[in-house]
Amino acid sequence: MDRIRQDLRFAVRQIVRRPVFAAVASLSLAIGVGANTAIFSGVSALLLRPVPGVSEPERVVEIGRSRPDGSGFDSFAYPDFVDLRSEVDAFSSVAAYTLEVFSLSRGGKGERITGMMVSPTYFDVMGVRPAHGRFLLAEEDRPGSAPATVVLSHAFWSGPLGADPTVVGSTVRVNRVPVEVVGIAPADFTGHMTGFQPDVYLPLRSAPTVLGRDENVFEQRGSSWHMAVARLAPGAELDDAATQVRSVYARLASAYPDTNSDRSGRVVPLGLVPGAGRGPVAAFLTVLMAMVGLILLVTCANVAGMFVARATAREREIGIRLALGAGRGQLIQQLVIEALLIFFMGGVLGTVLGVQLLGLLPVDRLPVPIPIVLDLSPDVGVLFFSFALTLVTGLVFGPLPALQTTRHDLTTSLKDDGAKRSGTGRLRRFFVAGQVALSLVLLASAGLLLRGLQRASSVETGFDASGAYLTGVNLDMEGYEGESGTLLQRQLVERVAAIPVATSAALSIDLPLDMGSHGTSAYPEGWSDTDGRGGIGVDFNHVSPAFFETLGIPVLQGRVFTDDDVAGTERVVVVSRTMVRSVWPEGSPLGRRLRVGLAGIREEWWTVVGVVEDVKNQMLTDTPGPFVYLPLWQVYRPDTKVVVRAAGEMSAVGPALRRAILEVDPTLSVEPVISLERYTSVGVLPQRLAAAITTGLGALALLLAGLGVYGVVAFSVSQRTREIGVRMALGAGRGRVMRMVLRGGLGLALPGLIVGGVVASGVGFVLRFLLLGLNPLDPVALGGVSLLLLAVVALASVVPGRRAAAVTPIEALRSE
Amino acid sequence: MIKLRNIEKSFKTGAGETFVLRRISGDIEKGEFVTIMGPSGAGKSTLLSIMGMLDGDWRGEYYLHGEPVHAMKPRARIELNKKYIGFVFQQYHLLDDLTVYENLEIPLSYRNVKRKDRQAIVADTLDRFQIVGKKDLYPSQLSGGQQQLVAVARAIIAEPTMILADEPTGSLHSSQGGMIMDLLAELNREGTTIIQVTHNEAYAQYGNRIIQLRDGWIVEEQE
Ligand SMILES: Nc1ncnc2c1ncn2[C@@H]1O[C@H](COP(=O)(O)OP(=O)(O)OP(=O)(O)O)[C@@H](O)[C@H]1O
Ligand SMILES: [Mg+2]
Repeated sequence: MDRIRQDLRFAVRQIVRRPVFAAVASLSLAIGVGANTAIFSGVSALLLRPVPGVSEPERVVEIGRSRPDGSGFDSFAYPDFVDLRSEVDAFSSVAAYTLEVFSLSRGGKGERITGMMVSPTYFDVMGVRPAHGRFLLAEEDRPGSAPATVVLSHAFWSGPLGADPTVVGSTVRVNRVPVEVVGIAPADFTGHMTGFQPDVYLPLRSAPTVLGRDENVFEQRGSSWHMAVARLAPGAELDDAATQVRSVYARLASAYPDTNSDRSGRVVPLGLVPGAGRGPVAAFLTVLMAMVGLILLVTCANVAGMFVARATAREREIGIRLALGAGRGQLIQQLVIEALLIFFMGGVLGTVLGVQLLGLLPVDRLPVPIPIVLDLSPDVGVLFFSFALTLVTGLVFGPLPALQTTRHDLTTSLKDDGAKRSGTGRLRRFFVAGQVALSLVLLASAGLLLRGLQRASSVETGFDASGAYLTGVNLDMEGYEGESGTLLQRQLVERVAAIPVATSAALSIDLPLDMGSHGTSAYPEGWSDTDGRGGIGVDFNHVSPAFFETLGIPVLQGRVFTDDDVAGTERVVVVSRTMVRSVWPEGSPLGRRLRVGLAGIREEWWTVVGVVEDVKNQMLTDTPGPFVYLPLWQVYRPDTKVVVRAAGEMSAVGPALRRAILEVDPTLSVEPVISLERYTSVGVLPQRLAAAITTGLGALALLLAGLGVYGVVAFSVSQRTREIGVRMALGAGRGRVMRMVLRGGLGLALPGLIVGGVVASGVGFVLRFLLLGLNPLDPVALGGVSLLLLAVVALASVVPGRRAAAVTPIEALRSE
Repeated sequence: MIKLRNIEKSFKTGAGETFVLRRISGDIEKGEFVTIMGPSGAGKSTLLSIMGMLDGDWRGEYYLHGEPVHAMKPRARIELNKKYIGFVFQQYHLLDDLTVYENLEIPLSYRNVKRKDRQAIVADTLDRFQIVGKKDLYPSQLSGGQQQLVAVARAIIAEPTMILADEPTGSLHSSQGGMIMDLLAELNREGTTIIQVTHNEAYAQYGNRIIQLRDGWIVEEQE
């Protein structure tokens, strides 16, 4: 104990007397540990943490429909769910649920809220008790006569509703339907999914009244629309449940071959990421973990190399200690303690760094439709992970240099200063070159992706996103239908277009570049493809007349819709350039007729009146396909975006747009207004995500490479102080010394630059699908990052070089 | 106590082998005070480090207290060194990162002396060498002679039965040199075996025997 304390004291002394070494080593480790801590926090938050508020969460499972081979995790048809509920006795309770967005009206105003529709058993499955009032009752699960009730989340009750106790028993309007608040969920229960924290829970059976769904969805095996969770019965295990679920599905497959022949079921433990997304999320995080793991490994190897190098420089000291009676064990202990101390410093610093890094993550600003709530704050597990990581790396890499350096014979180590010898120097150079190569590859990926994104603005999208703003109104939630809905929509467009700065306004059910699309089949009159089929797959949109003008989509032939294209007049469509090329390559498309395979209007004939430019509908990398536009005034669709083109900033247009809509009906619940540019940026989300990750990791790798080069160069300079002093005493100028050091640093990085350059020039071809047509060998990106790396290497050499050049011979010669 | 038989040491050089020690034989009894002399490069330091078990690469037979050093593994040699030997290096070899106090403390803690006792012994020694005022300085803050004093103090602090001193007075003023020699003589009277290397005829006389080395050979022994 006494000696450990002494060793610790000397170790601290070493750090204080050689602060640069300690700083470089622990900073390198901090970066490695930090990156791992950050990614692992994500793993922990998404995959490892138990769902909060749920009692015995390990007994709760998610059930999903799969294909017979066990792949997939999809929604259920309600009759299948009912059969599972009654036949699987490994479940003590089972609940169906869906995720919804509702409009809640209070005091004459509407607002958008998130919610779930659940079987009353949902709360039994989760094992939670109401904070106030009651949860849903079994009779609220009966078909048809479901009483309209709602349970509020604690956050929603205590936030917007001010924790008013009289709310229980009062009536609120959800999607215009009056429902009674019967209870409040406990504060610690926020639903069972990461990111989705419902404000309200309604009985699943109120779907027909609240969502306007057909009552038949509870009877049809053909339509799958809800998910399910269950609690395992006492004594039953997940495997039992899974076996029973599969056997029920096997029975259903033979009983209802029309609908069920291709169905089976899967059971997975309850997790914060829903069963369907868990596979991809886990795969993504695994890739990230592997990448940061690799970074940490290279870092550790390099730091171990630093220790070896320093221990080599300390051979004289080690020799003296041996001569003074130190046992090899004692020496190793001392060296290991010194190393562990530095690893520990790096670990603590890295954990703090990692947690800070996570704080910078803009999870809440992702352009996705449902607000995402992600708790990435570090938990005990994360801290334990970082600590264990530090300890393991410290214990593996700490003793290596000690073992390596205490092997030597005594007199030799006392005699020379041990600088030039040893293959460990070569190993260390190898690691530094590896770091340089790794960072060049990551930086090249980042550079190519960023250059690709830059091109995104010049990629021909077919429309003009700048200067347009949008929001959403879903009339299904607001109690309008059919004619009254169309009437309101016409008033909306008129009113919004009348905003002083607005030049035009439109409604549509779909927008370009938003990752989403609506697909169906079109049947042009008298047409068939080369295989003799009369139908062609198309994407479609329902739009109001000014849609093309508002989005800046060029009209190529004929006309677009007018306010006179209403129900009862000739049915007209506008088609895209590619549609024309695929179906009517010869002659004019105008006046041709087609049918569209949409429910309710399947049999009608539509006449082509205009052709417009192709538009990238989902992602920037799309190749445009045939597209059909239908007039919104001829076919009513309740859920639309409201787009306005206006000469003004977001700060002015946003509130004006909202105000205009509420002037038409003050009770409407309106989505937050965003610019079309931001909204459509989801179309380059994969590129942005990839660019963000590679940029982040690339920056870390660059920093590490810089530190690595700096470490080696600074070390060799300090080893050569004496030599440099002698050279200067013999007449070498400062410039010469500086050049000598610089040449050393660049020579160190060169092999890494070459290897990294070769790999990096291949990376572009792997990433090609994300590059938006950028040359995979883009000289700006590749040249740029090479120059950046060179600059960092030069800088890392210049700093110790300056120190070397500042040495005066007398100091240098005395330093021995 | 020490019995050397045909000790030979050579270095491989470009052409072949260069011998530094040739057929060195002799005995040193417990309680002796032996001086080794000879011109530079004669092999004095080499011989001393072989006897001090700092060097393991040589041929011949070396018995210490009857134990065959030549047959021992490095670990056992280090144990012997720890048990019997205090060494003063020609180049002092103080530990740069430790203060004077800590340099003196090191041999004691390697020998598992308790903290309390260590403090007392180090304080005594500092006193004896009149370097109390320097105890918190680092070696780089001392003059060459002061460093040598500390090196001698460090060699005797663990009360070895045998002190091997390679020019312990080389950089010292004659009064301090004399003090070191008086100290060695006193230790010798108390029973410690002393083997020193020196170029100083006067200091050589402190010993009871002088061994002359030249080009690796023992050329003369005088009582
Ligand atoms: N590592 C080595 N390689 C080759 N020759 C060596 C080596 N170390 C010592 N020698 C040679 O061994 C010989 C004896 O050296 P040693 O240090 O023992 O001399 P010394 O008698 O102590 O001289 P001084 O009085 O100058 O200290 C010298 O000729 C030296 O050149
Ligand atoms: Mg010598």
